[in-house]
Amino acid sequence: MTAVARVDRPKTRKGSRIVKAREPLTIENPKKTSFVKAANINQRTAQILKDLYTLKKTESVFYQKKNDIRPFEDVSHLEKLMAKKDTSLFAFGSHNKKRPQNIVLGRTFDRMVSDQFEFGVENYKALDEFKVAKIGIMVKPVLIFAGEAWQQTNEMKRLKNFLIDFFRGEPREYLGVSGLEHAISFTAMGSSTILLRSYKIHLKRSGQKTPRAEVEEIGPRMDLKLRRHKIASDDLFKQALRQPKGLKVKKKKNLEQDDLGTSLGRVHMERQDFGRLQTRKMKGLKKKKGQAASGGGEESGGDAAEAEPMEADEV
Amino acid sequence: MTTRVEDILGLNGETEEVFKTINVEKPLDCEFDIGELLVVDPNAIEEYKFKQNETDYVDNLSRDNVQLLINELFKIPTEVKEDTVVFQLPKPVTRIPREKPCPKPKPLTKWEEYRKKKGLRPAKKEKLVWDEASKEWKPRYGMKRINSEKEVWAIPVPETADPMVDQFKLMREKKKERIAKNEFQRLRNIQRAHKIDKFAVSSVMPTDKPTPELMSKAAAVAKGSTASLGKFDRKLALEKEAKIKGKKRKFVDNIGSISTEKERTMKILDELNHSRPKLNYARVVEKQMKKDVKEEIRQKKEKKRGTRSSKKLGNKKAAIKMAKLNRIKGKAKGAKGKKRR
Repeated sequence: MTAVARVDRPKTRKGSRIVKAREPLTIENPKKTSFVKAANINQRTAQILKDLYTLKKTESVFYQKKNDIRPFEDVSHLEKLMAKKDTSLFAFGSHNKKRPQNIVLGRTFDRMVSDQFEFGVENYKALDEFKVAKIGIMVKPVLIFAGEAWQQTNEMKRLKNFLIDFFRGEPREYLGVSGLEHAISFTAMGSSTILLRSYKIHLKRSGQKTPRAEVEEIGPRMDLKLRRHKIASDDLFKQALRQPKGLKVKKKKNLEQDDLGTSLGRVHMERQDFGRLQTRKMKGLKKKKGQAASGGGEESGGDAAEAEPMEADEV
Repeated sequence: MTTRVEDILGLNGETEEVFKTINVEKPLDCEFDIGELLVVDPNAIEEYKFKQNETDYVDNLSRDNVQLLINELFKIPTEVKEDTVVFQLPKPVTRIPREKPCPKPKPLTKWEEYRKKKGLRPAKKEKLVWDEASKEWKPRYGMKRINSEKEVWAIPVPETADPMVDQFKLMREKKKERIAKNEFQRLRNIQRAHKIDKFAVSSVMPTDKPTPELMSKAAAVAKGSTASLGKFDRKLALEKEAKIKGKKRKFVDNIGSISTEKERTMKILDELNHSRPKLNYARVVEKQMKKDVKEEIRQKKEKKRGTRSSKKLGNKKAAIKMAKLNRIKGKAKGAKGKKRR
């Protein structure tokens, strides 16, 4: 049973506009991210959040205040925070003795947390610690997933899907060569360690049309140790993957493509009526304008009626 | 001059040697999603190389993968847009879950349903209407609208009406009544859309704080909700048989006292004789439910107000709401009363 739609109406025009903007869309806007600090966060972990925020700047909200939240125990407060700004991804940072330098990354579906992954950050080097030229904002990164572990377990597959979701940026229709500037690589060392590296791409001449790529690390650098995780059930995930009717491309009937990329169509024809077949046109057979409207038999009758008074005049 | 040419030639010769290769060889082919700028490299990490120099290994691995993506990307035909060469990216193949469920069509209101059934089209109404009295165009609805109650400065008292009744007050009341009616219908439409009255009939209602008894009852109902009334369901080791019994029908004895039988028959006949309309139980239940909910809300609000120090009777908003509630109640009663007459 779904919850009853809001019974109370928004009181102001502005309010109703906001409510309307948050309704489900056929083509969704890019997902926004909430960055939330735990009550026990330390400076280093906050720096990690800040670095992630810099990577995702235009489409995120950074909550400055600390919140007493434990996402693996109770997500309700976190969900509330996210609903407030209509975000559907979150990054949460905390630090304690049992789980030092802890970040939780997750996403929601329908305002409820569906997937969340907890990582311990080791070997962290902040964005500022790399003294190199940085990249511009709104750059769609190249995402690299290396290692056989990504294909092995259901959790890792889901994590891969989640990381793509989290870091992919806005979808693009066109990409210039200069837009190919940033690369984020996730190297899986076994099923519990992921090396996150971020690079600036330099395109060099190669003597061919395709340039040679060189990478320069710009940070942040972190080794993520997977701690706890909670992933959505397959049912819920499937439901979230569902596309609205308008977006699905209808398969065209009787249209195939062969290996060479030529499209072949099969057309079914009705039996042709040869009586109506257009044969060679001749001037003599052409109907005159006035005659075309009435039938053949009546035509002659009409002509006779017209002719009669003329004759009378002559006589 | 000659030296420069030689220089250039010499440079060209050098650079061709300097160019590094763009080819990358891997045992397993990478998967690409060009639309998402995604490379998935399924090759295993070479541990011994990684241990020799961790950063170099990871950097080289990433470089190779970026190179592979670029090689793949440069196969796409390019276009010129705003004086720059761009690639038209294909649509991403990787399926990413939505953030919200697919949009659903808005449920029709009772009127819309009727309109659809009848095939009626909404009459087109212009926003502005000509006002004969003031000789200007006025909005149909909203601020400074035509026929606004605020602008009426005299109302003729109808001949049949009581001259002592304040016609202005009557007009205001009527307007409030219309607003209340509209609100009532809106709520009813929400109820209809969610089929709330169906759930009201169920013996187990969803609550915030379920008691153990309610939980066990709900479990029993759920168990018995299969086509075979839970007969073939798997049971737990120590599970007790769910005791949920339907109502047993009781029949009156065929042979009894004549007076009671006569009374019963007369009662039926009496009911038939009356032109009273049949009671729509669903509607009555619905109304009662709504009444209860509103009463609850009112009580909660009153409690809240009670906790605050100030007891403002002049709280305008609350007063209006109360008036609304009372009117809705009064209306429901009135409607019933009319039917009886």
